[in-house]
Amino acid sequence: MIPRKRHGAKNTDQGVYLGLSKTQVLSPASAGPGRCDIAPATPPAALAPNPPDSMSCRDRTQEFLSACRSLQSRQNGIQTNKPTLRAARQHSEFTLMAKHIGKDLSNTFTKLEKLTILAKRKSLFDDKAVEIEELTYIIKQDINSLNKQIAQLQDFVRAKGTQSGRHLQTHSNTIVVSLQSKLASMSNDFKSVLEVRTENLKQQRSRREQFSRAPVSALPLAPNHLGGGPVVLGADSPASREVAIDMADARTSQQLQLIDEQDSYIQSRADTMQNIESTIVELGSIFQQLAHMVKEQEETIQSWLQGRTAWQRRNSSWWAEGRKAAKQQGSKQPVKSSNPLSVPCILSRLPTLRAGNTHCLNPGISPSVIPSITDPSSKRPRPSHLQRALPMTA
Amino acid sequence: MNVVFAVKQYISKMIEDSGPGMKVLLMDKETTGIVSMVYTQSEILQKEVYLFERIDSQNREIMKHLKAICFLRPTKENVDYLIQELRRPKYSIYFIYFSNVISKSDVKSLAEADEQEVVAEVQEFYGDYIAVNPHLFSLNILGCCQGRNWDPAQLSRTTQGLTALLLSLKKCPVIRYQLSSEAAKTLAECVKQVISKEYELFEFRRTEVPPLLLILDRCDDAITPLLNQWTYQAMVHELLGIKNNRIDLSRVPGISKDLREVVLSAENDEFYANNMHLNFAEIGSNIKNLMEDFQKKKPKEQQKLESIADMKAFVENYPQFKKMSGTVSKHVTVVGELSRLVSERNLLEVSEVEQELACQNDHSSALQNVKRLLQNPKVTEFDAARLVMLYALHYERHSSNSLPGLLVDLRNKGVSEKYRKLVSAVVEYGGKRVRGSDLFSPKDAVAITKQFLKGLKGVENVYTQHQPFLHETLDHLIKGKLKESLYPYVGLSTLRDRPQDIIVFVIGGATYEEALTVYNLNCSTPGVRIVLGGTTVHNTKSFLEEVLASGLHSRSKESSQAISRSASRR
Repeated sequence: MIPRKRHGAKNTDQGVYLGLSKTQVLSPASAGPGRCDIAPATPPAALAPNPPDSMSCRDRTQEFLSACRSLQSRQNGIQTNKPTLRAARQHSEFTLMAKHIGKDLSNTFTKLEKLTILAKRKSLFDDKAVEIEELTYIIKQDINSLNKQIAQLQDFVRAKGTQSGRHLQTHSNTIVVSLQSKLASMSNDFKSVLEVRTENLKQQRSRREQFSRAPVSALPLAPNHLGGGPVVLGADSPASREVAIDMADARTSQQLQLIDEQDSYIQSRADTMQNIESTIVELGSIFQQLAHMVKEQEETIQSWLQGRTAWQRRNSSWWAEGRKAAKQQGSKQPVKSSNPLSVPCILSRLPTLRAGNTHCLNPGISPSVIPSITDPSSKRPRPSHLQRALPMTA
Repeated sequence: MNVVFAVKQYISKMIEDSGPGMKVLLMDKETTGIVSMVYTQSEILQKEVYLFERIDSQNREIMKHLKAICFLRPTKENVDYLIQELRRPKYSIYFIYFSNVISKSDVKSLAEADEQEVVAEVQEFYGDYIAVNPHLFSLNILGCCQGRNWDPAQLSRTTQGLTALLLSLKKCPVIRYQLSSEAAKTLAECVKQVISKEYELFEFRRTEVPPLLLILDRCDDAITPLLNQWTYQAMVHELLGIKNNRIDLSRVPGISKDLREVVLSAENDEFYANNMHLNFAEIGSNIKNLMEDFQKKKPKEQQKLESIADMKAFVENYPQFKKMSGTVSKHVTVVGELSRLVSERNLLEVSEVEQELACQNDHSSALQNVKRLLQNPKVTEFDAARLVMLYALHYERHSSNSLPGLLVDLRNKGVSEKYRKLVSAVVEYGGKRVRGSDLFSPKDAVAITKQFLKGLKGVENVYTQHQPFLHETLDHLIKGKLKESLYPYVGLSTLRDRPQDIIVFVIGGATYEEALTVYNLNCSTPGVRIVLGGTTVHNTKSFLEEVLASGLHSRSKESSQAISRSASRR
């Protein structure tokens, strides 16, 4: 049995229907009496005449939606046999994934920003080592998972590459590339932040050493001094001696504590350094992975390019005259155009990215990467045999 | 207890709920009427509804930038249309409002059709009736009964309409019905059934005295719809015919093109709102005042247009002026046509005799008057037949009944066969045999003294002396004196106190005269609120059609005729 809900369910039931409640401006004051009038929840006002602006109605939206949902789940079990619908759904799946990644990226960017602010502090005393470490760790994790996600996305694109149209694939690839480049730039930023941090730490250390060398070197002497103290003082008076002993105790314990602290501090610093180093190493591996992925993309694009040159060769008569040159071009062009796809190149091309705009998937760099592919289609009507000439990497 | 307001509120809420942006209002045949009764087009345009479409029109354009507000009756056809629509949506998003309770299976099939996820809301808004006046509603059903019993389709429509009215007014009533009518009993039980089935919808705040639904049958009072009327609204309906607030004036001689069809709506016509319950004479003087007002304004507007400021003032005032001129020309045309018809058909004289037939018990003078009028060539066959019908109803069992003689007179006058047959049909429909209560001769002492006193006082206006039988019924009801033996309750619940909120429903149609009675009762008795409804709102013509549609006598008549014919052949 589907419960018949009558009023307000749409807006109160979170996570079920979110389509419209955001865009709708439903002031509670105006909607209130209209919706709750049927509910006998106001016994004190029971005898009062009905407010003039109330009216009875029943919201069947919930019922409708639950029917939709049950139908959907049933259909998923059966597998719909409508190819267009499925393609659309798949594509939307892709979009969803990409959107998710974009959102994660932007979140990570905000974290990175925070970290940058923390890391760039040079104060000796207000050093939030723990926070920085945590953030570093988190960001590291994030980047890792993002990397994985993008790899998945790429797999996904490749898996359905054969079925979907060329434009769709171009689009998907563009999105993947843009996500990758954003991730790369973030990793780069992260790396630089970490370097800054290391630098800072080094500076701090050196400064600390400047100021704290004296007490540290004086430490071994102290016990002698103090040890001698009580003996001398002790002869004078028991009272003062007691005091002196006390003081000595206190001082030694203080000193020892100092040593301990210093030790642990140094230890922690060393750890931090190590951490940072390992992070950088990991980042390096991520970079490599990214480079690998980009390389794969490049292959796809290359094959397209080859297709294009083949087409050019076949079709343009003026081109046929310089077949040799064309061959050269053909062999050169992919190499040339592969350059812009290598990681450092992408990174250098990247516009300064802000955390806020990463989730919008408008492929900012796509024009620079893709135009060589899309050009022919936009300039001339494509002959039908080109489709055959275009080998799709699946 | 204002039905116009209730429906209007539903429509406003619908439009509000869909948020800002351009909208299209998708309706069916009946909801178009429902909406048009409470909203004018310009009013609804202001709320960003720019397009009105019928769901059953086939070639609607695809307009993805519009939001669709669908206000539909939950009928099978509408659900089918909606399913088609959702499969290939023409608009971006759909807000679906059904005017009544919709079944679970229909919701499911709609959900099935919503492949592209364009439906934002599915709601039930109970505006399932035509709100004519604040205290008068109709269902626009002509011919609700087959013989003495319901046409099943109309019964379900009436039940839906009536329950929707109860829901929209938020009343969970105690129900009484007229015992003498089988149809009233059936309807009462159907309504009760719906209330108990949808009990959760009918959970309203309890009032001290529960509201009362009284179901009556037209056949108990066949006199009222046969009388000529003299108050504005009723008169217009009687002589010209009001259909969903619209009046067809195309048959008026020399009518200008833009006055072929005019709208009389109390909602946005102040003059009409103020005058709809006044009688013809008062209307005449009010129209004169209106004209004078208008005349005073008119030259002033047109004279000085010399400076820019004048022009500006003119442009600013022009819409108002235009509106006023529209109102004036409309009412002048309508009243002019009314007065033309009155004099052409000799209606003053006819009406006087009608009133005498309806209200007095002097057989010989009545007969004499009817006979005299039948000789008058100015009296139309319609009015002549009407007079004979009234006579037949009143003096059905009178010892010196001379109905056959009158029928002969009718034939001599050249009145068509159709009308002569209708005389007996009307008697069959609302004759003494059918009536549960006595229309003409009062039984109890109070009523007799009342009538006696009335006779002594003399009547205020000879043309409006008739009080519909409903007045007496409601009067008794308000005083708590309505006999339970004649108007029993449905179910166990009875009403101890005097009722405060009363909904009266007349099977077979109410009349504007009764609406006026209800209006006056509402005004004169504080604490009592009455809403009148009917399967339709009748004038004489539509009432005769209703009688014809019920078809009981024509059948019996035909068969008897067939018998007599066969007998004569032998």
